[in-house]
Amino acid sequence: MRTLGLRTRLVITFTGLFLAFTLVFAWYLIERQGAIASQALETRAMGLSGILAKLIAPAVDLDLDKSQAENSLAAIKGHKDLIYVVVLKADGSVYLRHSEMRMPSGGELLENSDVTRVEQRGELLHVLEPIRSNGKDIGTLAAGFSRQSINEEIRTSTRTVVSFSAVILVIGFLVAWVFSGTIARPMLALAKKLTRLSQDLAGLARSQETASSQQVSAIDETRGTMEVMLASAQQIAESSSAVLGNAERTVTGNRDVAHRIQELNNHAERVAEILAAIMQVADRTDLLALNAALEGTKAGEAGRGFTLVAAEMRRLAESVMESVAGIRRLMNDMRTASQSAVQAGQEGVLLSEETTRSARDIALVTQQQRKATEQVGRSMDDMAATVSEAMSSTRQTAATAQDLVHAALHLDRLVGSSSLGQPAREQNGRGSAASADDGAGEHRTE
Amino acid sequence: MSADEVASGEDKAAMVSHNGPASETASTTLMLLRLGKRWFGVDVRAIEEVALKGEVTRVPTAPGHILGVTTLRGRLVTVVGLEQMVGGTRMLSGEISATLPRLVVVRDGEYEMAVVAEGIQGMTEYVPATDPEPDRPPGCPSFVRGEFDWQGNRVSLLDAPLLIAAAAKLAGILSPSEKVEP
Repeated sequence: MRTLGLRTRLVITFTGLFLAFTLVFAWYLIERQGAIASQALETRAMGLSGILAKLIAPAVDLDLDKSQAENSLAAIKGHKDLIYVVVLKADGSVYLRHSEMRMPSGGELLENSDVTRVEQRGELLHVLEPIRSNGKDIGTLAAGFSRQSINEEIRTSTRTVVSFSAVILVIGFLVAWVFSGTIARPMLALAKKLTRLSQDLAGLARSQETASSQQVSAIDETRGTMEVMLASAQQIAESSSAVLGNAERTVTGNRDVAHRIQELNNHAERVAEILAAIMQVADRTDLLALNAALEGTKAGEAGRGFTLVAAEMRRLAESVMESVAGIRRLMNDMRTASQSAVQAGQEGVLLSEETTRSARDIALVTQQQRKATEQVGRSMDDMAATVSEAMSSTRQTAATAQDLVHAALHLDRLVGSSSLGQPAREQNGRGSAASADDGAGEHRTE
Repeated sequence: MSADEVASGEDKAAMVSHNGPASETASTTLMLLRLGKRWFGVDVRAIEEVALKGEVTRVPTAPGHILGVTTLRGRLVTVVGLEQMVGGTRMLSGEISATLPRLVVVRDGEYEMAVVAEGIQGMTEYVPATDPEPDRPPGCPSFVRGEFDWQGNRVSLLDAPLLIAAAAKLAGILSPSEKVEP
């Protein structure tokens, strides 16, 4: 389907208007000129016939010689339109016949008539004029006039009108051409600009739609990541709760261990006190045995047995003291170990309490992180909804822009003309869907 | 050292005491006491008793070898430090004694004094075989009658009366002998 350009349409329209006006004007003038000429011919014919009828009425009434009548007709001889003159008597006989010109087609009209009659037959205008004398019809004057001069005038007028109309038509065409150009050029520029803007708008809308799609994808990925983080936070919260419980149980256990070790230390202290008492008793026993041996030795031979018993007592006391010393060493080792255990237990309690605090902090932080992650997830949902709405609006904008592009292209094609085909070619050069028609000014509609 | 070792060491002391005092022909029972790394032997006949070393009250202006006085069953006894009297050098052995410090009370007639001992090893029989004079280290105090070996230790044989006299002399008081002789 081919579409004419706006300028072409304007030129055709204005030229058509001019042509119609010219045709009407020419037709009117020609018709009017013909009617006026015919009317003038009839008037002249009737006037001339009336004059002739009155001039020859005496001759016919008196039935005079035809020469007198012919003298009367001499006045009209040489009339360019007069073809024939025939005078009929009342009885229908020809009184006088005069014909100087060749007879065109249609022949003579010869019949009596009591009124003036005008008939047109072919190229002739027939006039029947009654000849009266004293109020009495004595005959009829039949005259024929040629319409050739009238036709010649009409043709001359027609040529003149046609020439004039042609000049007007050409002037109208030129005026239409210039006027349409004046109108089409700004419209073409506007259409071109509108096309470019609409294409830019469509491109921006597509870019925005692409960006929105990417943003939606990024939001989806972020939301997925946040869900993973939320799951991780929940898992961390559960693990930290378990760690917190274990740490609290460890604290309790370490406190029990420290308490038990403290009790063990107390028992060890009590054992040390008992050992000190045993040591003191053994020392006193050793001292007593030593003095007994001393006294036995002083007693000489009689005290030898006493000395031996005392020596045995000293041996027992020394054995007890050595055992006590060994127990003391063991007790010291045990005390050192228990003190180390107490210290380790206290450190363990401190570490467990620290672990408990850390686990509580971790649980609290994880809880906050989980809330924050949930908040971020909700924000992501809101953002995704907003972006989806924006993308939907962008799609509508893109569709509207595309429609606008089509409308602009259509307007461009409409505005473009054969002489204004440059925008169409530029449009084609920009990769538009429209294609140029090699200066024809017409574009193929998509 | 246990009492058995002391008892069994009596014969050993008799065998190794070749350098005993020449004036002593019969066997003598000695009580072996330790002070630091040094061992001393005292005739049991001069020993009044062995007591625990209780609280020793230091006496003002007393010489260095007088550690102070203490009470033993109501008696006021002077406590003497052998460390200061023998040579004035520290004789700490670093060994931990199984018993508490003792006070060996020696008597010479009416005079008695207590000697601080870190350990008492009991009694042993001492048979002087030779004159101990050649074994006396040069410059040793007069109350050291000689030295002999006992179970790998060098034992200084103390003369209790001379020890008491020396302590009294160092303290600026009359010794028992000086009191008796005039």
